[in-house]
Amino acid sequence: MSKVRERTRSPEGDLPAPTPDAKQWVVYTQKREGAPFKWAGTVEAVDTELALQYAREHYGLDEACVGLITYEHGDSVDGEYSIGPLVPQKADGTDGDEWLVFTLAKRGGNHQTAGTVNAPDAATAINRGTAAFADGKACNIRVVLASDVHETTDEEMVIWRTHDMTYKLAKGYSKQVRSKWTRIRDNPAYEQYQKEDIETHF
Amino acid sequence: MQNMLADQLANIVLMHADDKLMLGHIQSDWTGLAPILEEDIAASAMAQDDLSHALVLYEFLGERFKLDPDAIAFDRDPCDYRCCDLVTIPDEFDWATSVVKRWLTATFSQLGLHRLATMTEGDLGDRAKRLLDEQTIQVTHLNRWMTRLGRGSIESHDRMQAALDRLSSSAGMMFEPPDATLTEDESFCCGRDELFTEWAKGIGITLDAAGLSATITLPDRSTGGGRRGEHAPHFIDQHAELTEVRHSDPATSW
Repeated sequence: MSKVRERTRSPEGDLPAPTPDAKQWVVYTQKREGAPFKWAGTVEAVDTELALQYAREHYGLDEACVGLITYEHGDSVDGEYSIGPLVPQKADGTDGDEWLVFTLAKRGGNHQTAGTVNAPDAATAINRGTAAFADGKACNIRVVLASDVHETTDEEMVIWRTHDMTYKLAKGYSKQVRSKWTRIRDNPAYEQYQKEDIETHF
Repeated sequence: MQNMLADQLANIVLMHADDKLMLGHIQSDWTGLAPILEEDIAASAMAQDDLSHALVLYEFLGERFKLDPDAIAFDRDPCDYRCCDLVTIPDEFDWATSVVKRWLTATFSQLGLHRLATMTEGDLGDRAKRLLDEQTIQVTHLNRWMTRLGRGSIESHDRMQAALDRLSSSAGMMFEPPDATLTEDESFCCGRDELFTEWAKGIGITLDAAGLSATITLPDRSTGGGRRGEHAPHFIDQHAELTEVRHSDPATSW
C-alpha cells in the first residue's frame, strides 16, 4: 500500500446529509456485433448516464465486449419459471409498445436478449415473446419496455480497451502462469536443487 | 537515455507519458477509498488506463532510442521527468481536488493526443489514435462528475469551486514547453496559444454546465516548471515511492 495512504483522514464534525440512494440497474454485455446481450450483473447509479458508465468500467472490463445495455431493476417483468421448456401459447397481434424480450435457457443460468415484440402490456408481451422466441427451449421469458432499455452510444463503443488487457482474462492469465511454471520446471538448475534438497532433508 | 532527453520530439512525447504515469500512480492511491463502490472501480480502471497509456508512449520512445520502456519510466532522475506541476499536486484524499485535477489534465491530454495522432514519426500517430478513444471515455466520465458535483448541493458546489480555485493557478503550466528551445510548432504541433484557446473553450462548456468558474491564464514561455524538470519538493517524494520497487531489484522481472 502506498505510503501516501497513511495520510488518509477520518471525517471530522457533522457529516453532510446522505444523498438519495442510488438505484439498481441490470447490465447485459454483448461480446461481438450481432450476438445476443447476456446478463452480466448489476450496478448502482443515480441516473442512466452513470449506470452505463459504471457498467462499462465494471463489467465491460471483465471480458472483451463491444456493447452494453442496462435498465432499472424494477422495469423488467418475468413470466413463469417452468421446470421444463415453456409451451408456446397462441398469441397473435402486433399492437402496442415495443418490448425487448429475454430468454432463459435453463434454470440457474442467465438471461439473454432474443428479440422484440409489440404488446399493450407486460403479460401480453410475455405471451407473444414465448410464441416468438421460446422455441421449445427457454424456461423463462423476461420483458422490458424497449423505451426503458438504455444502450451504449457510438461514442461510448470503446468498452474493452484497445491497449493490451489480455492479462485480465482468466484464459490469458492461466496461459501466462502455466508458461512461467513450465519454464521453472524445465530449468535443470531447479531440478538439481530439488534432487539435492530431497537428499538432504528426507 | 541522454540522447532521448536531448531530442525535441521525445520531450513532447515524454511530457504526455509522464503526466499519465504520475496521474495513474497518484490516482491508484484512491483504490478502495472512492466515495462510492462503482466509482471506486471506475476510477481505478481509469488509473490503470493512464499507466497503460504511459507504457504505449514509453514503448514508442524505447523503440526509437533502443531503451527499455521500464528504464524510461523508472530509471530517470527526478529532474528528467517532464510531467507538469498540476499532476503532482497531492490531493490529500479530497475527492473534489482529485476530480478537478483529473478533469483538467484529461482534457489537456485529449487535445495533446489529437496532436500526436497527426504526427508521422514512426508509429507515433497510430499509437496516439489508439489511445484517443479511451481518453475520450475519461473526459466524458469526468465531465459528468464535474456537472453532477457542481450542480449537486451547495456543499458539493462549494467544494468543487474551492478545488478549482486551488488548482487553476497551476493549470496553465500544462502548456509549458518541455524544452526551452522548442518553437511553437515543435512544442504543440500547431501552436501553444491555439492549443490553450481550444482547451479553454472546451472546459468552459463543462464549467458553464456545472455552474462553476475558473480563471486560467497562459504563463509566459519563459516560466519554468515541471516540464523542464523544475519540480515541486513533493515530486521528489512521489518519485522515490514510484521507483522504490524497481530500485530494490532492477533486474527482477515477472
